[in-house]
Amino acid sequence: MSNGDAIIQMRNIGKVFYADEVETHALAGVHLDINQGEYVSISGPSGCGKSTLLSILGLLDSPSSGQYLLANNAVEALNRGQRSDIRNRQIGFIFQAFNLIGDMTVLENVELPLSYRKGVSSSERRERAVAALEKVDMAHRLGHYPAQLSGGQQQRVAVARALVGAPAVLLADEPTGNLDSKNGEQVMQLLDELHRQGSTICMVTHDSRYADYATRKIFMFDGRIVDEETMHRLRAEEDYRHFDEHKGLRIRSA
Amino acid sequence: MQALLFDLRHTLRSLLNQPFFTLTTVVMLGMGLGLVLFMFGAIQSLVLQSPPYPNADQIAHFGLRNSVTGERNIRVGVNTYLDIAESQQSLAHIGAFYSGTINLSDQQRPTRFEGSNVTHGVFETLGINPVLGRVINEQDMQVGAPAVAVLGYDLWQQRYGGDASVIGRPVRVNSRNATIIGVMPEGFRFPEREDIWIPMNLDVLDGTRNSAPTVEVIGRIAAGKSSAQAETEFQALLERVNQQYPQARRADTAVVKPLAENMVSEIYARVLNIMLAAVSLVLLVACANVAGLLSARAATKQRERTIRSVMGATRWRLFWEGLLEAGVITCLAAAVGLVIAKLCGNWFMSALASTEHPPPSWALHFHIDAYLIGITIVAVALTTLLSGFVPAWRSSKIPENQIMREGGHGAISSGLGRLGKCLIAIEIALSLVLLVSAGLVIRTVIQIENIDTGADVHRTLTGRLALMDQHYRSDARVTTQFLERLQEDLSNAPGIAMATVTDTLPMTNVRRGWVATANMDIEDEDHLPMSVPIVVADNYFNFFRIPLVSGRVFSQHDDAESELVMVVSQDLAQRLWPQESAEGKTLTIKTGSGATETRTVIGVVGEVEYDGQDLGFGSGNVRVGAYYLPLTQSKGQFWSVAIHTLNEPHTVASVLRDVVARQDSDMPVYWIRSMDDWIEIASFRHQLLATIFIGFGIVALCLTASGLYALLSYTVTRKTREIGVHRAMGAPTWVIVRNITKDSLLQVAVGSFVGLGLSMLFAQLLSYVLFDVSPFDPVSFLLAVLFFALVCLTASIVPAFKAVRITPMQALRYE
Ligand SMILES: Nc1ncnc2c1ncn2[C@@H]1O[C@H](COP(=O)(O)OP(=O)(O)O)[C@@H](O)[C@H]1O
Ligand SMILES: [Mg+2]
Repeated sequence: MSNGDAIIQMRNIGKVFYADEVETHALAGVHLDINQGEYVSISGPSGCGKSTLLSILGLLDSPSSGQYLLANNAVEALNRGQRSDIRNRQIGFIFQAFNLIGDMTVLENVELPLSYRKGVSSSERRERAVAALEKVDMAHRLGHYPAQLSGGQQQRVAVARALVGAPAVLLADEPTGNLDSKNGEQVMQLLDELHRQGSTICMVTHDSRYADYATRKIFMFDGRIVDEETMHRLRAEEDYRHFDEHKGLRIRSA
Repeated sequence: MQALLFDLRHTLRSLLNQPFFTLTTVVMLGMGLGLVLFMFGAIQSLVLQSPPYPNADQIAHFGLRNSVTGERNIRVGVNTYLDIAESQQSLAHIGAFYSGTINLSDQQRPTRFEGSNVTHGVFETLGINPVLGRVINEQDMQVGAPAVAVLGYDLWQQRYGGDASVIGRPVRVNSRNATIIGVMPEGFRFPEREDIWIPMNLDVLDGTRNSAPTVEVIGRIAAGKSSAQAETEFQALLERVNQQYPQARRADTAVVKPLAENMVSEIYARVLNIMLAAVSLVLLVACANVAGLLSARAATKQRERTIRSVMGATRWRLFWEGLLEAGVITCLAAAVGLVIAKLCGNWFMSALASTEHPPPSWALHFHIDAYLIGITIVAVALTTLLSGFVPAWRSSKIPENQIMREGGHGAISSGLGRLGKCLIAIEIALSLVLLVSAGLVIRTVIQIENIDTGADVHRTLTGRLALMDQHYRSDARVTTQFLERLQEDLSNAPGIAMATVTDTLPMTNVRRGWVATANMDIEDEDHLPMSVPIVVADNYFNFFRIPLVSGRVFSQHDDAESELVMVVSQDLAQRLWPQESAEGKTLTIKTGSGATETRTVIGVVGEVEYDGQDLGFGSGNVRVGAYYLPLTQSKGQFWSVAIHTLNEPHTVASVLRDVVARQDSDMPVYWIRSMDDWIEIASFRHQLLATIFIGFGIVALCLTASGLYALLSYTVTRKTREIGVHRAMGAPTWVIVRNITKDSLLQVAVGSFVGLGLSMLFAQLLSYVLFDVSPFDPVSFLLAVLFFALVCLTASIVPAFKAVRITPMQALRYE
């Protein structure tokens, strides 16, 4: 499956959280390649490790084990400063909660990633931010504050912010999770258009309708990547187990 | 640079969006900075500033350092001045002066002005020209030359209405006919606040070298020369003189320093430095407080920083942004601080101007100048670091993967609690130091005001006379007769019960003189014990009810013809003859004219407090006792009369004036004050100090109280759910209160403990300004702690009340 085009190559990635003496194996043995220009969706039940995987993809977190090459560079060896720099240049983030900064204007929010780059003049920063906002059709709201925008508009601004630095990959964690279906649809169409223009996108969603926009669908279960049928089977088993436990409880308490 | 502007804009906006936070922090730091800048400004004006003469740094002041005692003397003998003037090679001009009060009378009532006796060359040395007429020249200095006077601008304006025709006008100066020859420019008051200058009488050089009057000597360094050269020359001169007059040999070395360093008393420099240390504590409290607020705010901005970090902001960038926020607040605070400093400075300078011996008038201006702006910039940088470093550093540490979790805050809040508690403990400790200091200084004021002077000063009015006329000077008996008659006339005047005469009243002394017992070497002046010389009329002890310990006091039979006698105080007798009776012993002393004389001790009396002004400032605390000489056996020009009045003392002021005028119409009575006034004057500088320390204490206390309040409120908010659960389970009110306050009680306890320790250290520094109060005075410490506890309690009540009112329902709704 691996080839020269793969912008992301993950080999046997594992992630363990230690909290309050409890080990949580959030990811185990994850292999994942994503090629330039691909649009990948990741879905699976809550708590299966989707966000954790995305954090590692976006260099927000480091894997506990395994190897991760981003654009053929091993990321394990990078220090904090280098990771900041790569996040800034190679990766654009879109979150379920939008995460715009409340006391910055729309324009400033979009300028933000560029303000962390050396050698970008303020006029260039502004031009690029406006261009990105035009792409998401928000250029008429430059001076507004996030609180003055609807959820859908805020998410479009967040998309512009993710785009503005011309990243290699766009990472989206349930980008429609906080939106109604009409606004959600709009954002999905926006991502679709970006994909058609050549962006590489990796999107977490548990809504199968939205997953259909993607060119490749990945399913996760309990920290592992599985194929679609396995997932459905595991899910069904899990539901049955739950049902069984409840029944058991009822019997015991009766 | 681009990034800086981007961040700056955002920081400014986010501060504007939280006006309450911004205002609070700006005002807090502003007060701290204001007080610090005020102190720096005061030190600049009073200690560092050069006097307002052209090229003032080129004006050298000639003094001596005693190589045995290490003491510095800013005055030299007149002979020494004449020797320097004759032999020096490195000065363009040289002059000498001493200050005093000068009688001026013309058609108007005789008035006494602060004036200075100067030699020619003083004005040239200073580089100041008259606005009218001329200054004192060499001819004016000649023995027998017609008397002249140079007026100060204010005197000219007030007494002569700025009339240019005063030049050449005849007046009487110190009871001699004299002519006004010049008027100095506005603002010129040399050496301190003098308003009239007359030629120094150099006709007094008949005594021995060591007995010559002393003067201050200044010189303008000639082009191409240096003050080091002047000092070398002066030193060589001293050595020559020592060889020439081996019997008058003095262990002095030459000290030539810039004039500026000798203009303001060392006491001011010491006291101002103590105050600077105190305000630094206030600023530290403010910094701790603002650090706490910045941390709390940073906690609320955690999510925003996480977003920035995800977007690629490095830790340094986030840290820098945190500092930038502190920096912006500090800059705003500095503007507030400069206003506060200016207000405090103006008040302080006008308060100082009204003290008994104020610093020179040119030093009494508070300027916001380049120097103070420079200090402000340094202070801003330091304050930014002190208040912003820890919050910025802590909050720049971002767990980025938290971004994916809803809400995104977590771990940091409990950490803020720990930092907040630490800061509160620091604030409490420092505030306590300031409160204890205020307590100690207040106690000093109370001690001075209730001082047991050892003399009965109830309903006593006093006035000062200067007997300048030649006929007083030529014959000591004339003076004696004048004073005795005055004393008698006053006793018989209406409203007056009794009158006495002395050269030094209790609580007004600034003099010291040496005494030598029969087996001490009077040539070795530097090692002789010092005491306070007092010349008195024979009813003086009776007048002030000073108890006789043994022997007798003066009587009418002790007169100019009889044996030379003296009375000593208990302390002095103890010091000189610890095992023996003082009566019948002999003591050698130096008279006002510089000769030595040996007297027989006839009695010992109780101790009287003579040191007024300098009481409680360093040397004023050393007890040296006193010795008394009968008026009939002494010479002198300056005398005080004291009268016991039947009613409020000041009601007979006019009687006093009239009685004096009847005897000598040329003689003004000045310093008409009750003894209570003198005691008030003695405590005035301490009152000023106490006011300032109370101000410091209150500011620190307010800061600490608000910090404590904020910490507790924060705890209540954080624990709302927990408290709700307790309530749901039926916890009583005291459990809730304990739950909220138990952490802060510990901080108060630890802070107070550390604070008391620090207070003891700081009190050592403060002991320089304390009088009759131990630096460990338990009353001050206890009161400070009690007062402090009260304020802490008050600051805790509102948050505790808020906690008590939390209902279980609220807790469950709380997000
Ligand atoms: N910072 C963390 N500390 C401890 N456990 C974590 C942390 N982040 C995620 N987990 C755990 O890892 C597992 C996967 O979480 P996540 O990736 O958020 O799931 P998803 O996004 O698929 O709902 C969960 O059991 C979660 O509780
Ligand atoms: Mg998730």
